[in-house]
Amino acid sequence: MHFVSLRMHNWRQYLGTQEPIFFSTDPDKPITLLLGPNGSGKTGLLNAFTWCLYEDFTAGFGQPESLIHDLAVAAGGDPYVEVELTLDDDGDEFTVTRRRRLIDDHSTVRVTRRPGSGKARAGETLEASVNDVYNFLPRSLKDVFFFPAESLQTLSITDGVVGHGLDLRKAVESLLGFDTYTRASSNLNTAVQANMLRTAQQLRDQTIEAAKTRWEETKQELDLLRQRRLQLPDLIAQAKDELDRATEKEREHDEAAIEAWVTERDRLREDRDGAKNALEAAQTRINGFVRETHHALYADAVIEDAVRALNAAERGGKIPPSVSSDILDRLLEEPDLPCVVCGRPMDDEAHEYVSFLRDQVTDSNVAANAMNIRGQLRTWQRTLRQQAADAAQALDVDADSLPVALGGLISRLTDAADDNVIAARAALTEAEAALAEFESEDRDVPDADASQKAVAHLRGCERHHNELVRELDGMQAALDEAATRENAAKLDYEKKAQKQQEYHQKQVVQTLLSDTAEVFDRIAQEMKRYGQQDFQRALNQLYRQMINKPYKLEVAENFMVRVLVNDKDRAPSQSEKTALTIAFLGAVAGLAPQYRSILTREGLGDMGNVRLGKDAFPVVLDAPYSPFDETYAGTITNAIGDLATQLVLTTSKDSLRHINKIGDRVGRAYVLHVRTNSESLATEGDSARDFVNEVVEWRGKSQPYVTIDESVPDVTTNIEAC
Amino acid sequence: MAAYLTIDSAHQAVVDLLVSSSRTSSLAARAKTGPFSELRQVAVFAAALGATLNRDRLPAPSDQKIRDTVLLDAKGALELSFALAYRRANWDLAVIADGEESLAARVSALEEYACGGLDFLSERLIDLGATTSALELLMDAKKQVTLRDTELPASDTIDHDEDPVISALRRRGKLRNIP
Repeated sequence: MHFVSLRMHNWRQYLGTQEPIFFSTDPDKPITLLLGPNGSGKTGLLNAFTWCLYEDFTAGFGQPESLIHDLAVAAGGDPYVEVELTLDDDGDEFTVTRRRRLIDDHSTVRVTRRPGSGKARAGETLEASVNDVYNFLPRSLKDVFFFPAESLQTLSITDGVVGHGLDLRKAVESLLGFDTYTRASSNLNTAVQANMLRTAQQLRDQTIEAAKTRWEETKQELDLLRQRRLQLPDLIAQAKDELDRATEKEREHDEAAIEAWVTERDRLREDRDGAKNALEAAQTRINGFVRETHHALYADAVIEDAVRALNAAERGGKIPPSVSSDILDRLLEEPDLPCVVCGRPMDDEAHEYVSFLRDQVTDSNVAANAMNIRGQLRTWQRTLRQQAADAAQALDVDADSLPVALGGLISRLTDAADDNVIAARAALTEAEAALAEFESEDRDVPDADASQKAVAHLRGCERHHNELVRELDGMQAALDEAATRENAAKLDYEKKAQKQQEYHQKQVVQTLLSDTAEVFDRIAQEMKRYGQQDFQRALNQLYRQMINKPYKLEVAENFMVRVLVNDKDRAPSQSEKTALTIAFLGAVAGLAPQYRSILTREGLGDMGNVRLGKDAFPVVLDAPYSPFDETYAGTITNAIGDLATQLVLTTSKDSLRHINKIGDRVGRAYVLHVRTNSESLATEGDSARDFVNEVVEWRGKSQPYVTIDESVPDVTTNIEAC
Repeated sequence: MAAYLTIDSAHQAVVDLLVSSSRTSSLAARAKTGPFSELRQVAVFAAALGATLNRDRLPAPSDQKIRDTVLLDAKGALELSFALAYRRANWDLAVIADGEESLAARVSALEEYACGGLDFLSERLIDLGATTSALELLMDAKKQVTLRDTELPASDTIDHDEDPVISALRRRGKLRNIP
């Protein structure tokens, strides 16, 4: 992989659209030199790379919020900043264009790919993703490939590879590829503990089965209803046809004739029933009359005889007796008593006469009974006569025509009652005959039963039709209700089934994740061990080229580097540390394509035997000389010259005397030409008049370096090729 | 001692015909059963009929008996029993004296005339046929029997001995106002 070009628009000090910087791709001259004075935007140019690729900046980059040149902002309109970086990855040319408008809060990026010759769709510009670029230039390598000058001084990889805004360990781990496995293992272990994989309580099978059965039942119910709804229109049509036929049939019957016939029949039946009742009443009447009075029919004469005999006895003085039998009995019992009539003493003759009288006089008890009985006999006669009178009235018999004697009276009334019975019986016979004749088969009897059946059938058809219509009317509501029930049952079943399935799946996933995490851990450990060996070898190789000393570098597990001499720790000097840092960068850049190849080809077996090759990833090194004094310049120059990689080097013309020593390694050179007014350059104590134009000499050619132009309102930098 | 009226068992058929069954409710059944609801009513009616026909006899011994207190509580029973006993005694008032003897005489008079009346009805039933209804039987009896008028004149023609006191007073010219 190597950079092809960089083009900027309104980026920081670079006002307007700059000429593109084309990077040297000559393996023998891998350095692209960018010469610029202080304030020309060397660090800004370094960050043009990181912003374009990662929308990020290097450590210590000032005012990252002010990306657009102030003059561009001041000019108004719709100013924007844009950086376009073109890279070549194995023949495929990727162009990453990132733009941010002043009015936007974020940038937009567009990536295109133009496949190289021999590849599919070679030469075409295809849309791509920034992730395609990250595949070979991952974000984790940013700190290695885009290295700010300050870090050369502050970072000591013998003390640690993390800090000062840099994380070289992460970069190395990313380079070696095992960070993926470490991260994956960590993520997997986290995932195992995640809530989403926490297994809920396992549901019992019968619970699931019951929910399923319930769902099937509701579904069947719903299906039946749907089927019924489909059938209903036909059923209603059939019912309507049947109703029409029944209506027609019912009309065939002569309702008036039937009604007249039924009325007449009912009248005859009423007559018959009335005659029955009349006969029954007549029989009841005669029975009652006979029961109460019939004995009197014959007893009347006997009773009357007794009454007359008693009357005669009364007239004969028998009842009541003229002389009390009790007085006579007392006179007989006490002979000394005087006569109760004359008061004179009674002689024997008188007593004899009293005795005679006593024999003739009715016993007082008998006399009393006789009087009582005569009263009863007369009462009996009166009662019977009254009953006869009542019966006569009931029988509607003329009272004047009735005999005086009770026997005759009762006889007559009995005859009248019997006549009534006979008449009633005759009336009943007649009524029954009339009804029988009316109902006989000979007559033209309307088929009342058939009519009634037709009417009943019609009513039945109406009911059936109406029921079907009502059912259809209510069908949608019933369907909705059934659908709701079915849906609820379905959801319940699915929820429970899913819960159970999730339980099993989660168990499987948990096991799988745990096992995978363990495998990844082992892979990561092995990769780390082999990668560490490769890195240590590359680092020793590069460092030995830079400084000719018998130092042995040992890379620890955390990629901290120990410097050993004869297996003893040695504290390197500052220049040795700087060279070591550059060697570190070079080792990473050099191994990067090798490891990428290994990981792409899945040739992990090569790990531990990977060596630096001709291919190396580019490194952008920002002003490496500026933090150091002359003492370390030579070391830096040697180190830079020995980096077998594409190197983008920004520096000031003050470093040219060192650069010139490795001038043959410079493939392309550009001047970051600054235009400014004196006031902008002035610092405290300076006078504007002290500033003059500067030029820079490169390979015998003089080019403007700083141009004082009082008409320029602010500092602007232009990229100018040497 | 209680007196009883005995129904001769020979009269069972006519008695069953004349007494309706309380369990019989149909019109047809009632037509074939009698208007009387109790046996004692039949006895009273039959005694009156027998007296009219002057038919009386002692019934053959039978288990079908009616106690005096029950019998005389039937309508007309007391009156008819007295009248019959009084007539049988040839209008001797002694028959109405208190006591078992006179009670027995009254019940006996009723029993014997009833037996005579039932004899007559049984004979008629045989003549009329077994299908004859109670009412038909009664109406037939009414046709067959001529109702007699009272045997005694309304005036006092019964030969009673005059009260001796009245006779004595009459002889002494003391009863000028008494006919």
